[in-house]
Amino acid sequence: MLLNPFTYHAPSSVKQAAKLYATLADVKILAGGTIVLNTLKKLKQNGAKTPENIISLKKIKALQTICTQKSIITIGSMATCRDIIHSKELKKDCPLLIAVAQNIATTQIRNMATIGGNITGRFTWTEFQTPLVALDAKLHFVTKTGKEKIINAESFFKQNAKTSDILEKITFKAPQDVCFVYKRIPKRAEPDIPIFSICLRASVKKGTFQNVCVAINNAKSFARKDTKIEKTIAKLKTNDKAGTNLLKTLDLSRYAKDGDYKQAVISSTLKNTLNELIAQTK
Amino acid sequence: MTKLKINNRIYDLALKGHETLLEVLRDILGLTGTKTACDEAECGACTVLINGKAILSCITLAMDVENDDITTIEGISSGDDLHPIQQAFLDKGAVQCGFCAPGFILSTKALLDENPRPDLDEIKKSLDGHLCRCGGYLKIFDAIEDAAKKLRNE
Repeated sequence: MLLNPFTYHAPSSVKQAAKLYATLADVKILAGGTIVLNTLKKLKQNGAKTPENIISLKKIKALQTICTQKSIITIGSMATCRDIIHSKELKKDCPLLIAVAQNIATTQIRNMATIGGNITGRFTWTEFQTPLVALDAKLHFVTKTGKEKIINAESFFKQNAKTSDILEKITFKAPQDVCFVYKRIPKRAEPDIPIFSICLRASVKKGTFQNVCVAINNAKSFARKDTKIEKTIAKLKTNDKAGTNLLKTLDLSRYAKDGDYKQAVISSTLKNTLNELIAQTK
Repeated sequence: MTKLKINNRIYDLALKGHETLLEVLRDILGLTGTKTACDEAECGACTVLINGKAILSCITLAMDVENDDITTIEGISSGDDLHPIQQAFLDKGAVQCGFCAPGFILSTKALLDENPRPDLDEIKKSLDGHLCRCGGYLKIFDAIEDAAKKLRNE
């Protein structure tokens, strides 16, 4: 299908992109294209208006870098899932994100879709949300006036991922002495979006969980920390019964109604996640 | 003018900006080996290689791939000689109606260029973005294993 005509802009720097974003009217930012171009087609099919200007970030090479400096990992917003999967830095310093990226969509989509598009696309189910919340990641935006604005991932998703700025990069401290477990539940075995995902972070010391973070995405709202589950886990002993004991006291009705199959799926996922983390620490 | 490098040939094209790569390949350049099917990134029929990586041309703006190496199904054979992957697809009966075959073959090329000795799970994972309505997946997997052996001169 032919897209409705628009004016294509391909800035070579973030500053140029910000300037264009500030001056152009009726404009949309294009990252990997896997969400935006499909959306433009759907809008046209439905007879809805489509943007007059598209700013493509593809030519800004600086946005594609992944590096670690002084224990801070930086991922450019235009790094693709494939870049993340093949990153030597992430393999060494944060394999969690590689595991997450490997589960996203299909090979061609992983070759195209970017972490920036995943974060700012404003779909509740996107997969980098829970790990970035669990990593206490910071999102670095460039405002329309060219200034840097930093917001932590949790706050960003609490504000429903709304932004009128350009995401430049994501930074976080390289995890040390903590374990992560990420689990996702798709509807089907084939490539599919998850209906629930969880990223659990914790360390184990003297038979107890410490530094616990539980980031949950139920696909209906954006990812956030569940402090009730975090507190419950922090009180548990790190033995084989931890997963079962966790479920005894938890009220999961905020994620799915009592009796709904999703509640059973979520509770067994929580149990397995915790048990897997314990197994990692042995 | 926009310069597109397709199958090692440079094309100077007067593009407006909103054309997808799929439209440029098929409607402007007549390279109809790349297929239009779902047109919404679900089926893989429009797969081409950009710098050796499989991507979906239906959701790629042509101007975004200016100066990149674009490979379509027309660009992998040598004259009248089929590429070993194409030959393996024929030998193993992996081409039925043939509509999905160009996409499968290009994804296979990307896989085997990177991993000459994939196991069955790796083959399946690399083809997770393709649909074959004839349901000929098993023969396609056979063909890929056969092509991998041929490319390794075994």
